[in-house]
Amino acid sequence: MFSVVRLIQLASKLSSRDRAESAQALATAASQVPGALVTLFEPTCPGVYHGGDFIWRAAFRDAAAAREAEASESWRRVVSTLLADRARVESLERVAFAHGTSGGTSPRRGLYRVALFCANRNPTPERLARFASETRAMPRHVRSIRSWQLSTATEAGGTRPWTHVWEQEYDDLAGLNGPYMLHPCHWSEVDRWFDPEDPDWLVDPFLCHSFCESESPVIHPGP
Amino acid sequence: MSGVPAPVVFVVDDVVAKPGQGLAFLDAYLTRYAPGARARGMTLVHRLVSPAYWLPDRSNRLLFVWTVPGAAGAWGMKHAGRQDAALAAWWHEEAPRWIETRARSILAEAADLAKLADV
Repeated sequence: MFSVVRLIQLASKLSSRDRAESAQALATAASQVPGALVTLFEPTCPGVYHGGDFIWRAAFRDAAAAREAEASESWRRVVSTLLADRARVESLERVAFAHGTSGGTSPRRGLYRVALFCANRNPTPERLARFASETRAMPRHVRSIRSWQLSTATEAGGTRPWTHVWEQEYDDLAGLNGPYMLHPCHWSEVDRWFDPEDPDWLVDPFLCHSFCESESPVIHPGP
Repeated sequence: MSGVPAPVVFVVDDVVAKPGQGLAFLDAYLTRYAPGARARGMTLVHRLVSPAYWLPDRSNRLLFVWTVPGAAGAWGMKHAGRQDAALAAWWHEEAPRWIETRARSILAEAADLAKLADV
């Protein structure tokens, strides 16, 4: 599987009517992407950090199917035009990635969270491997994580050349703000890769932390 | 909130100074780093030096033991620090002139681990 995630920030000066129209146009476009097997297009919840107004995640059979979708006439006519319209879209973060290591079972509905990281501080293969290994171990300790996936970006655009996509699903926001943030595996271990005070510092402090409600399974949609 | 104090979390900077630079680093750490750390909610409880005298031409090891209150204190320290470019400059541009190697650890009393993980 291969996915493309976009975090879309609408222009702040848009009127509420233009905002609603833009959102509707994007939602319609998201629902009509050729070849998309699973699509999530939802407004983000309050509390995101560089998380945009909308999360758009489209999953495809493989990278070729994603490329084919984005080369299609309908895509170029509608989506490219919409996303490139700076009067409507203020910023856009984009990552494309082959699905990485994952685990758990997606809840039927719940909260989808995605974080985009740019590991650009001395990113040696050994350090990247340790970072990934510790991150992948978190769901063993954080009981509220229902499903998860850590992937490496093959394409990235936006504010940083994103390198990692860290996705989780929870039953609700409390699972993210509670156990995920409060378990010691996070603040006393894994976070050192993000901490400019720590000699192991690896990840650019500018990161995206975004989440939205999900009405159907996202990471592991099932057969 | 229950009113029960959060378990104490310890933040330890473990520094091996360059030969003969232990005292200079201690002074720099206490004047350049420590005030900001206190402003981020950290409390300095120990400044330990090994061996227990200043080495004029070899490396002293210095352990700075700080405390913060629980996970919230740890995140408070981290989030405040990430907004401060001067803090990164301290560790990555200024302090290396005195430092041979360093490590930072975040720890808790063994008796508190179960409580900290019960989230």
